[in-house]
Amino acid sequence: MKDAELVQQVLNGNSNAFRFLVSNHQRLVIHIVGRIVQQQEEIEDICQEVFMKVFQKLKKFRGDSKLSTWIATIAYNTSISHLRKNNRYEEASYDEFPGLMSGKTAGLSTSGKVEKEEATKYLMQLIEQLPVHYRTVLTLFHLDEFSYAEIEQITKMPEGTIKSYLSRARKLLKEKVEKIVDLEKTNIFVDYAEG
Amino acid sequence: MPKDEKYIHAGRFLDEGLKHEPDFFLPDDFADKIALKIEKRLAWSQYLKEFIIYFGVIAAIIVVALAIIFFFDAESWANLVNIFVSNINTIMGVGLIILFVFFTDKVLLRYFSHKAKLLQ
Repeated sequence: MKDAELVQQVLNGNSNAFRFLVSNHQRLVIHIVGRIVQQQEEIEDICQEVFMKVFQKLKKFRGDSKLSTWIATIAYNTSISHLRKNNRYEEASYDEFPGLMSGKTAGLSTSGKVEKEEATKYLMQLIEQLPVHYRTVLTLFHLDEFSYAEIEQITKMPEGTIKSYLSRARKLLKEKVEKIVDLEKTNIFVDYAEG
Repeated sequence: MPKDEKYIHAGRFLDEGLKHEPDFFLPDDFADKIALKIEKRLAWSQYLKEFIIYFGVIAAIIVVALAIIFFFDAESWANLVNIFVSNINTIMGVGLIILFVFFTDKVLLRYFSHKAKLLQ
């Protein structure tokens, strides 16, 4: 079903159409809310708030952008407001995150074999430690596959800033992954070598 | 595996890792819960809209009747005003009770019965 048709059905009072809209976009919303808020116990309430706002504002959706971009904008703004309200909003750069900048691979069993699953878990932890804008941009670009222009529309950040956040975050994460490479007993790349 | 090759694979591992689903989750019935909330909200606004329309129609009929009396029967109009002024509390009280009963019947009871049906 096309976005415009779906929106029209919801505006006509079809609650099944809205259920369909929620099912289709809840993965996107939880990625954004989860990565920004990071508290599992708060996520469900914020996701509910996001979809209630989507319903209330749907009349204003003009179809200038994709419905997913529009919903992502609401999810982003709601999550940032939530952080601000709870004084958890940091605008710091990643240089101010000593845990991330240090060369340590904390959380990895450096003495035993590093399995791929363990390394992936470690990477997830690293992403969660990035400043809010970095992890948001990474999530929107890599996980939800939005373009630079769409991320600009969602976050209101200039395209240059988005590119810079992406490249710096990737660089930092790559350095960390390469630290795993240096561990003698890592076998996380066996699959790639075989492939 | 040579170290250089491992570094090349690190890039691929990072790309895959960035696409890895985070651990956050929503309950399985999340969409149903939201749809239920929306359905309740839609029902409430529908019943309220209908109530306002009914109320508007009744108020319009009363206003037209009073206007007819005012323009065509000055004597009855004066009597009506006297009755209204001398019984203002009773008339206002009865009016409010009628309004409340009407609101309960057209909005509250319908809404709660619809809500109960949805929750079954």
